[in-house]
Amino acid sequence: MNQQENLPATLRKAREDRLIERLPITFQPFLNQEISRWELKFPYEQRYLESLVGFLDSLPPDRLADLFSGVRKIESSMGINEHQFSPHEQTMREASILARSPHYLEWRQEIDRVFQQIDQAAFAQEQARLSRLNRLVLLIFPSVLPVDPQSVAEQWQRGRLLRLDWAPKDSPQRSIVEGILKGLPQADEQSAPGFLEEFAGRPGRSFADVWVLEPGIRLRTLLSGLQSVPPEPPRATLLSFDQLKAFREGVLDHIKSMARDISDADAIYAKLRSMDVSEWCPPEVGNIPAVREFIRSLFLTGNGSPLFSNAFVEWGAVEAMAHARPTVVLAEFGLRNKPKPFTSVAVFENQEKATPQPPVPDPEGSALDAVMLAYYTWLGAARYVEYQRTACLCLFEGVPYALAAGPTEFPLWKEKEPVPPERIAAVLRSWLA
Amino acid sequence: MVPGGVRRQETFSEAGKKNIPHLYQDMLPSAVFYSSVRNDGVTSHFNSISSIVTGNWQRVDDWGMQPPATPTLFEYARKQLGLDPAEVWLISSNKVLTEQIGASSAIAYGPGYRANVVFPKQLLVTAVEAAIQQGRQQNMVDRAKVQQEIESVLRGSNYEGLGWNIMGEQQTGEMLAPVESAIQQFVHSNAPTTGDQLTYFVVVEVMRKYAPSILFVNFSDIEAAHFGSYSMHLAGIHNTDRLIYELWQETQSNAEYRGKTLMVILPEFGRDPDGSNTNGFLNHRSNDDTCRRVWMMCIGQPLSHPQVIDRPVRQVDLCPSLAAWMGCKATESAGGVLAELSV
Repeated sequence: MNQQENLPATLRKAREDRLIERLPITFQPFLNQEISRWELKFPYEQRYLESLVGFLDSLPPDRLADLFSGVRKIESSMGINEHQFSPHEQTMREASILARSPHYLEWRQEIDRVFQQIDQAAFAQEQARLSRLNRLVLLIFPSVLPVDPQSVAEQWQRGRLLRLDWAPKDSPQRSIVEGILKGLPQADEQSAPGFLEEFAGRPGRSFADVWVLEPGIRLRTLLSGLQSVPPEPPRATLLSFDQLKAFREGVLDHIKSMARDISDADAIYAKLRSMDVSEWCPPEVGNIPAVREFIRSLFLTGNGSPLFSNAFVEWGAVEAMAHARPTVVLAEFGLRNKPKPFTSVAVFENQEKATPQPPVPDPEGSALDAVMLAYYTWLGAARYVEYQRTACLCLFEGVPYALAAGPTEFPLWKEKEPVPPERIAAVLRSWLA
Repeated sequence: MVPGGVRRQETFSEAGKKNIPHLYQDMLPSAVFYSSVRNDGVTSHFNSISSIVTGNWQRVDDWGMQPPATPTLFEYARKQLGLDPAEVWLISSNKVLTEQIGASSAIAYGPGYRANVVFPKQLLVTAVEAAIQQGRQQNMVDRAKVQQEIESVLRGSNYEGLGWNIMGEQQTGEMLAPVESAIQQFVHSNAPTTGDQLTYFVVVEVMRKYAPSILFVNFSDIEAAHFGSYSMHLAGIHNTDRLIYELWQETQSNAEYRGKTLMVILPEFGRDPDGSNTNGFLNHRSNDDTCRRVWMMCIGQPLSHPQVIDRPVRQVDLCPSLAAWMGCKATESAGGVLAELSV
C-alpha cells in the first residue's frame, strides 16, 4: 500500500483505471514490474515511465485496442494464455516460452513497433530537448595497457588522433589523466576542482548526470569533489569493480548454486532480486536505491560484469546510458590476470580461491578486451537520440595520444597539435557548459 | 565438427582469416565451402545443435531437459543401417548440453538408437570443483595430482553428474582406459589446458578405439565470449582452428578413416553485431545476419572437387545430406539434400 502511495498521480490513476489488465498478456509483466520498481528508478526512467503510462491510460478504448491488436494476434498464434504467464514479473521461464516460439520474431518486431509509436506520441518532445544537450564520454586506457592508438582509430573509422603535449619526465608526480581531470596544480601544489567536479557541482545536477566507472579507485580518489557525505545528496554515481567485490561474489555464489533447471533459475533470480543486499554495498551504492538496484540488475544480466573489470566498466557504462542517460560518462579500463591452468575451466570468478598458483597479469589480452569494449561503449551511446551531441575522447595514457570523436562542432576536431592537457580540460569544460 | 558461435568478421573475412590459419590456408583449398548457411531456429546451444542433428528447427527446452522432437542423424543411421551402438558418438565441451541430445523423443526411434554422449569438460569441471570444495586447492598446481583428481571423478562417479551415456548404460568400464589415456595426455602435454583440448584428446582416443562411423564433436572454448573477454574469444577461435586441423590430420593418418571420411565444420551460429543492444560478440540472440548467417566447410575424399558455393543453404540441410551420403534417409527432416555432398 505504501508503494501505491509513493507513486505519482499518473501511475496511481492508471492503476485505478486497471490499465494493465487491458493490455496484452505479454506486455503486462513488463509494465507491472516497471511500476512496482518506481522508487528504484533513475530520474530519466521515471519521466519515461510516466509518459508511457500516461499516454496509454489516456487512449480511448478503440485506439488502445488498435495499438495492441498486432501483439494480441501474435499472442493468439503463439498459444499464449494467462495460465502460462504471470502478469507480475518477467521471468526466464516466460522469456524462454517466447523465444522458442516460431512466432517470436514477429512478436518482437510488433513490440518494437508499439514502442516506436508510443515514443513518438508520448516522449518525442522530451527526447528532442535532451538531444540538444552536449554530452561527453571519456574513456581512459591506462599506461599499463599496451594499446596502439592507431589501431583504435582504424576500428572506429571516425575520430581524430591527437598528439598530446605531455612529457612524463617533466612532471613525474602527475599523470596525464590528472592533468586533464584536475588541470594545472596551483601555487601550493594542490589541485583545484577539475572541470568534471565543477560540472557535477552545478545547481540542478543529480547523481545520475555524471558516472564514473573504474576497475580500482584511482579516479574517485583523484576526483574527490564528486564525493559527498550524507546527508548531502550524492553528486555523481561512482562505481568501482574492486569496491563491489562483496556484491559480485554474493551474486555469483547464488548463481553457481543454481541447478540446471529453469524453475530453479527463476527461483534463484527472484531471490536475488528481492534479497537485502545492503551488507554487500559500499556506501556510495547502498545509500542510493536506484544505484543499488542498477548494480543488482547489472550483475544479474551478466555480460561478464561480475567477472572482469573491463566487462564491468563497459556493460555498466552502456546500461547507465540506457537507463539514466547521463551527461558525462568517465570510464577507465584495467588489467586482468590470465586464466589459471586447469582451474579456470571451472572457476572464473575467484581464481585466487581456486588455486594457490600466483596470478599472472595479462596486459596484451586486457588491452585487446579494452579496445573492443571501449568501442562498444561508444556504440552504446550512438543508439540513443539523446546522445546526438556526444563528444568522445579516448585517452591513451602510455603514449600519450587521444582520439577525439563526436559532432563536428566538438572543438578538438580542429585543435592544433600537440595539445597540452590543460587545453583539453578547457575544451571539455566549455563543451559541457 | 560444430564449434560454438563465431562471426564471419572473426573468421572467413579479410580481417578474420588470421584467426583461422588452418581452416583458411590448409583446408579451404581442398574443401567444398558454403559461404552462406542460415540458422533460422532458436539461436541457443541446445536448440541449434538439436536442429543440426535432426534437420528440423527444434524448439525444445534450452537447458536440455527435453530431447529433440524429431529423429537425429544418429538414430536414422543406427536404425536404417543397423549400426552398432559403438558406431555413433557425440562428444562435446559445452556444459549446456545434456545426454538428451543423443536421441529424440520420436516413437519409432528414440533411446534404442541413441548416440553415445560424452562431455569431457564436465569431468574437468567436476574434478576442480570437488578439489576446491574439499580444500585440496594445492593439488591444482601439481600436474600429477591434477591427473589423480580427474581420474578419481572418472572412477568414482558412475558418470553421475557428468551427464555421459555410453552404450546405453550409465556405468561401464569400457571407456575408462581411453579416457584415462586422454587425461594423461591433457595434463602432461604443453597444450592449453582448456575444455576443448581435453575434448580433443578424448575424441582421438574414441576414434582409435572404436572408429565410429558418425562422430559429432562440439567445441566451446569460443564461448568465453560470454565472459566479456574478446581476447579469450579470439584465443578460443585459434584453439578451435588448430584442434579441427589436428583432427583432420588424424583422419588422414588413421587407416580406419583415411580415404573414406567426410569432415564437416559448421558453427552453431554467429554472434550479435557490434553496437547491438545485446552487447555484440558477447551474445548470440539477435536476429541479424551476423548471428544467423554462418558458413560451412566440407572436406574429404568423397567430394568430387573443391568449390565455393555462394547459394544460400540452411543448417537443417546438413542432416538429410549426411544421411543420404551414408546411405539412409532422414525421412522426417525439413531440410533438403545438398547436391555437392552427394556421392
